Amino acid sequence: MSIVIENLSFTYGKKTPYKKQALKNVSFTVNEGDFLGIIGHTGSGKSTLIQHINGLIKLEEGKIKVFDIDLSQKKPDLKLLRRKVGMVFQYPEYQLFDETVEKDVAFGPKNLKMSDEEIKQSVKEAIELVGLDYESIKDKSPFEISGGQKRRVAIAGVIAMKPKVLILDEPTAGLDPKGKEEILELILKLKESSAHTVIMIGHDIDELSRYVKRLIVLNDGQLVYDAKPAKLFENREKLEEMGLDVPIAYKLKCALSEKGVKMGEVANDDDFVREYLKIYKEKKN
Amino acid sequence: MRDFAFGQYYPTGSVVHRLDPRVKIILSLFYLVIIFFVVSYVTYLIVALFLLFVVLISKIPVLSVLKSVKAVIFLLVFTAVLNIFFYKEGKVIAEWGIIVITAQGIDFAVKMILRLSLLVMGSSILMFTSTPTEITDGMEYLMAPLKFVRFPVHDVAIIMSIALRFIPTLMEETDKIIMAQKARGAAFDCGKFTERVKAVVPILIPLFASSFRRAEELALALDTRCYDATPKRTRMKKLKAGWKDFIAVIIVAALGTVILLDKYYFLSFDRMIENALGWNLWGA
Amino acid sequence: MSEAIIFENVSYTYNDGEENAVKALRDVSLSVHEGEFLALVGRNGSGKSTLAKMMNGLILPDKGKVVSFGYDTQNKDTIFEVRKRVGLVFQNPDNQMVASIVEEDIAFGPENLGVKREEIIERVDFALKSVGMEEYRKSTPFKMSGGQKQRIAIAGVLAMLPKALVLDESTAMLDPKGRKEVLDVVKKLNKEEGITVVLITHYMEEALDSDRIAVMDNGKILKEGTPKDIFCDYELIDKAGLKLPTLLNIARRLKEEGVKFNREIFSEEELIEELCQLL
Repeated sequence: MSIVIENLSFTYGKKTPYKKQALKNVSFTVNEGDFLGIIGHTGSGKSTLIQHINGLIKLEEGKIKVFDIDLSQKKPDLKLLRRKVGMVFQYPEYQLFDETVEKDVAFGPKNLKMSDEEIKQSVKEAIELVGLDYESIKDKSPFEISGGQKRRVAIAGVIAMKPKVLILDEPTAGLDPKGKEEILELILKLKESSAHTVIMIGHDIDELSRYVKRLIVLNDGQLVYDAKPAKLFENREKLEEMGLDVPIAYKLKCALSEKGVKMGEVANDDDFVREYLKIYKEKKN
Repeated sequence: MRDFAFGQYYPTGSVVHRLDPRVKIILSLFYLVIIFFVVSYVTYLIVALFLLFVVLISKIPVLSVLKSVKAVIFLLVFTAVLNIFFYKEGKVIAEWGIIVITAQGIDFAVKMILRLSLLVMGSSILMFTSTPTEITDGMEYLMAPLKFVRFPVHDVAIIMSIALRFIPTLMEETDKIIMAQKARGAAFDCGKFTERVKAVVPILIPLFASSFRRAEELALALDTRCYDATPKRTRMKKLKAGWKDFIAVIIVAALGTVILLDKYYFLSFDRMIENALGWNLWGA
Repeated sequence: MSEAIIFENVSYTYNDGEENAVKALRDVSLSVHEGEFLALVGRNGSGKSTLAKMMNGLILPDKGKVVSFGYDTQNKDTIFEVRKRVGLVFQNPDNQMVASIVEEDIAFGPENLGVKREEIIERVDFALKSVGMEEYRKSTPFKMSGGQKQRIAIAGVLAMLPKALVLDESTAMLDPKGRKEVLDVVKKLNKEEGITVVLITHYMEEALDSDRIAVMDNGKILKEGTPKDIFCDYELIDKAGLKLPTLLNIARRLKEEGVKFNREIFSEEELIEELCQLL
């Protein structure tokens, strides 16, 4: 198991009139190779949760274990933790700062004290992995490339640290439709070739259910569901009460089933098209 | 993430909170001046009781007001030590070689500490009970006469207002950037001085870049909302002083009167008590 | 139908004459009709935002002209007449607010216009009510959700009593709930107050309910038409780098897989009915 979280609770601004409990008794585990999605409306505690996994927020209550690193210990090895868990924040391009793309991507590896040779190698690999041409982009300023490229460079900066777990907070926010699709395809590719465990926070249920194999739902700091997408959507009414939608493909499946058309499991449009074609072709033959 | 990032404002909705900010600013200024006229321990006690009274009716925790002194504690200790060890006149209490401690020296030091602490606590009440916007508004009104010497009061007020508005946003942004760079293995809290200075670059550059981006959009937003359309800009908010403001003025004026009477008329309540009891503390 | 905003052969180049010059608009002609809900879509860098900023004279054309409610935006004397009538709302709500208290922020526009105090208060009331934020009058926007902040930004523009509202990707940074809040407000303003709306968005679902869609690519308008005209033109959608709304995309994929539809599909009901009949 890569990550084990037990009874995690957290409160912001504990001793002020502005205190707010962000997480209440959250428990779940992430296994190696998982593709996990976390969903919940703004303020449901998603960001607080993933910041805990990377040791960016000090653990107050509960237990977190990431590989062999026990975060409930007094002085956990944060450097090792951050090497194992790569974190891509919302709008990650806003953290770029160095003169050249190459130097910027090398920031993480350098902090981890990799050898010069290793740094050069992993930077090149990371830039190529995110689908950019190393030779032509490495000397450019990260401030003069296009928006889509910036985001790729920022992701490369995390990938270059060779994390085993990759966490992404709304990686497609603010992109145009094509840009979104490209980034999602990239994440899929990274999962296969580099970081094998991926946790992705998102808002767009249609988009998330197309990629993740498991979904965690947070509401008011509590974990309310942890299930595979097609199963999760069976709680449609409860989800809608929390202000969360189910994918259109799932809605269509429900509507058809009311009219007597029974389909197999549907979590996204791929499933829907496949299942419908199955029935359609049977009827035609 | 900081929860409430800017200012010490502590909302309780008390009568002190609801005073006209102009009145509060003027009274605070008056208090800052008058405190330098306090000469006797009795009046220090009166001022302290007055502060306690204000803190109680404003419903802010007494402890957080006391804590505001923490910021100047070094200054307090430093001046106290200077006064105790280097004030040479008056009745000698102790003597070690060149170090001479006199009763007057201690008296001076204690009064200095009292004065500075009461000063800091008094002004902190203004900050605890008024939002930054209220202070800006109050200042704008109080600066209004400067318009006649062509001082751009409105523009300055808008600049102040925007600055106040953006401080929490930029602080939040800084937190985010620090977190993002920490996640990339940056260590801000260890290493040699030069390393720490270097570590600031990955925070500052994205912060500047973001500020420029924000400034650009803000400029467009100001234009969109017709900034500078007419020199006859109007104001929605009108500050109005009411009966509670007059009461506040009278209470503070009473405090001022007591302080001035003590200094100029009774020539120190302390002295009167000493004389009545026949003490001789100062070796005169 | 009278015209709210007219573009006549408008061209614009950023950093004109320099090495990094970018042609943003190429000979664009477009009319925004008074009272309509127009959606403007296209990939990043297609020129949408430049077009939006020309509507109230934040950017002036290099060639051609823009006339908003009868005022040429290039006439410096009447620029505030234009800005009063055409309000822009931008992407990041945080960058559009000037004051730390909601009502003071909303009052900023009318204050700049020199509106009388009593009327400013009325306008603030109206604007807050229109966006459903009356109870937040004295609050600070800092801790609010994105949707709430953006509604306040809209209120700030509404207080100038504009005839047209231009939203330049104003929903891009919001979550689905916030997007819906903002969109509902905008639709209501369009229907009930008769305010002309130009909505720039990457979310095709948001364009579905508009009166008209204009598709932009590479500084030009590729096509104008009803949502049906646009979303049934698969070739156009691909060419402009767009994606169909999920529902229509499912229909498209089924068609491409050989399902023979007997009619055009445009709504969920239509699709469900058709899919049942086909079996």
